[in-house]
Formats: sequence, C-alpha cells, structure tokens
Amino acid sequence: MTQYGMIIDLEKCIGCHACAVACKAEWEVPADQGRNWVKRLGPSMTPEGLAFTYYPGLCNHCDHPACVGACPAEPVPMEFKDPKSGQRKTLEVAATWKDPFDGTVQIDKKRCLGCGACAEACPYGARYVNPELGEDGKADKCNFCVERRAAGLDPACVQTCLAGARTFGDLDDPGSEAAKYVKKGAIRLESEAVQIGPNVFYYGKKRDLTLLASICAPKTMPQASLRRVLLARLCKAAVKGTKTRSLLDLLG
Amino acid sequence: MPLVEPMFERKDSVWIVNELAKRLGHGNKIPVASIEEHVEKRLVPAGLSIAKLRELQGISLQDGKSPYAPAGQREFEFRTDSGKVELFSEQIDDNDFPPVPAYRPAPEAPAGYLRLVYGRAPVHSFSRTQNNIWLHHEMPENPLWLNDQVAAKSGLKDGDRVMLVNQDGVKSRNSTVLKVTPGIRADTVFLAHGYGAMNPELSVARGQGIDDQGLITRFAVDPETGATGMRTSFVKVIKI
Repeated sequence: MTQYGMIIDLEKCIGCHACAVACKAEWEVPADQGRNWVKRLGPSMTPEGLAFTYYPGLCNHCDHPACVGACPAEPVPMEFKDPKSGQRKTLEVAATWKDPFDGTVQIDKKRCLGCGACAEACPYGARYVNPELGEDGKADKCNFCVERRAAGLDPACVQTCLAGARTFGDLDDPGSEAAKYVKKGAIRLESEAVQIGPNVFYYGKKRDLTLLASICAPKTMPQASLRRVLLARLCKAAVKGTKTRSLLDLLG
Repeated sequence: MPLVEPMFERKDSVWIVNELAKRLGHGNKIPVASIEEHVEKRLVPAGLSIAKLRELQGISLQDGKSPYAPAGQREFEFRTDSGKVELFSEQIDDNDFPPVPAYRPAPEAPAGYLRLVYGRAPVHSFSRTQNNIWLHHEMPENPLWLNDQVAAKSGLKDGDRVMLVNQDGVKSRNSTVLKVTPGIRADTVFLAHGYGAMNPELSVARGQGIDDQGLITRFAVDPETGATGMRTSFVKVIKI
C-alpha cells in the first residue's frame, strides 16, 4: 500500500513563508485563508534550552481523518484504482474521502455542500470554506497537489521551498526519503486526546520539536457540530423539495 | 558608450521618469534632461566626466591589473604595504588613527528606556514588498520583542497592544502586538523593519505595524570607518 505524506525539516526551514504563498498562487486561495500556513514560534525556553522555530502546517492526510466522517453529502459509489497494481476498488463516499490506494484525503468540489462541517471537525484547522467557489462556497484544503503530481510535478510548496525543507513521498516505502526521515526521528503532531495518525512529520532539534509540539499539537478533538451537519442535510432536502414543488406548479 | 545596445523599445530610467512627469503636468520640475546629464552630474564630485571616462577607458583601481582574472591567475594586490588584507595597518597608524578599530562603548539607554534595534523578516524584502497582499497576510504587523523578565516587572503581557515613544518624544503613529520572549536582552527591544507605511496609495500596508525609522531620530557615525549606526535610539513601551 501507499501512504503519501510530507516531512518538514525544521533544520532547513528559514521561515520565509514561500510555501504558503506558492500554494495560494497555485490554487487561487483567498489571501486571508490557506491550504497551508507558517507560524513563527519562540524564542521560548524549553527543558532542552532556548528554542526558535516555525510551524509550516498543512492537511495531515490522517490515517483516521475526522473530517471524512463529518461530511453530510449523500454517499455515492466511487471507483478507485491503484496506479501500482492496477487493482480496482469501489467505495461509497460522501463529498470527501480517504483514497484507499494512496492514503490522501480528497474533496469532490462538485458535490461539496459548502456546509463547513469538515472544517470544524479537523483538529488541525487544515480545512476552510472558500466563499469564492460555487454559490455557497466549497470546502478546500491541501490535496497534496494531486493535479500537479498527475502532470509529473512536485507539490507547489515542495517545488518552491528554497531551503529544500519539504520532502513529499510514500511513508509506506521504507526506501523513500520521507520514510527515512521518520526512521531517524521525525515526529507527528499528536497529543493524548488527538491521535488520528497525521501523515505530516516534523524533523529538527529536540528543543525545537518540544516547542512545536507544545504549541501546535492539538490538545482536543473538536466536538462534531451536529447542528451544522443537520442544517446542511435539511437545506439539501429543502432544495429537493423546491424542485419538486415547482415541477408540480408547472403541472398546474 | 553602452556595452550592449538597448533592445526593442527599451528606454532608460531617466527617459521614463521624465516622460511620466511631462504627461502628469510636472514637466517644469525635471532636474536632468537625459541619462547622460544625470551621469555627468554624478561624476562632478569625483573630478570626472563622461568624456574623461571615455579617454581613460573606465576607472582603474590599479594600473594594468584586473581584479577579475580567474582564481589562481589573479595578479591583484591590495594597496597595503604587505599587499594583503591587514588587520593591523601601519598606514592608518601613521595617519594618527587607531591601527586596529578601537571599541568605544555605545551610550546606554537612559533610565526607563530600551534600545530600539531593527532587522529583517524573511517574509519581506525591505519595505518594498509590504503592499503585496499575500506577503502582508503572512506577517501583517511587526511584533515588538520584549524580554520576559522586563515584561513581568512592567506588567506587560504577550499579546498586549503597544505603542512606542522615543527619547526625543517622538511617538509611533501605529500600535503593534507585544511578543514577550527570553530570546532578547533586557535592555533592548526589536522590531522587523519596513512596517508602518504612511502612503495612502499603499492600500494594504498603510498603518500596519510600527515604523522603526520614524523612531530613529538620532544616529551615530563611526569616526574611523564612516559607517552609520542607527540602532542608537531609545524607546519606552506604552500599553494601549
């Protein structure tokens, strides 16, 4: 199996935010939103000494994504294909899903209702609703640049990183550069309450990782906003109802 | 005597500025009519002219030796007695200057004031990228760094909105956010440079963050090298 992931090497990151800007330029993300982001941390004291680092964040394409289950869109069958083995698999998916063959979490913008339930469900704040898409907005997030990769390119943030601090690859392939980083101690941003298997890892000095984890590892899972999910479902039902009624009206 | 003739419709900067000035109705304020006149004016203090430069075929630092020869074939020598870089210079000593730059203690901050130092943020290139909306959102203002122990004594907290006033009573036009950290010495505060633009045409950057330059009302010139020091102003932090 393949599980795509990303490694951020904080020893190389210089905090220039070019990754965040490249992503906005590539995917037409509103300036005040982001599919990825950089936060500047410290200088702060840690048990290992004074730490000063950055938090370049993005969707973690989690092993157990909280966002996928929160999507209220009506599930439809979708066929997935393993590019390696050619194996096919059909799953019932809502407007967002975890790909069974490459481990990435994707969104179908056409079927997205724009309700924002997935954005609320993510403990990392990795999703937002782009109000410029569709009538009511559409959920958007890092998709590991699936379109660019299909064209043989690196994700935009990886290509633009002048420090070479970002490594994209298959974490399940022990020979990949990404997997090697995990082996030599790259960490996930997890806490006691949040253990959903994020697939973005951070590598760096112990003190910098201590500071990063203490500030940026989410401490709680967001409570799924049932109200919002229900509202989205009701809205959808109402839209359907309107269509039916206007047809009836036409019939006289 | 351009090394490369301009291609296509390329115009020089003086031509562009002058044409803009004329068409905006400021034709009477043009200081130089051409790039040649501009260069001539700048050569006067050095006792040179374009004609003289043409005659000399450029400015020669050392006759007959090119400093740009490939490594290993370089004949260039420094114009010192030893021909090398000198840490102790007898030439300077003979002219009654200290042969090794002498440390002079910088004036310390008056009681209640902190030294204002400034530097770059890797997000921006000086102040010229401040109005780029993407870069602006990456770092909308320049947090004021303050030592954690000083902050505790002064009752200031991380995230407070603050303004600055300097030793000459000049107050910052804008406020910024306070960043409390053990990563700065107790007698100093730090700001990233380039913030706090005043120009209303800078629709994104205007009024965002504190302008360090406005608070630098004093500077010092090093008597030996002529270098200008501008981390020489002192400020008080005002909570708002």
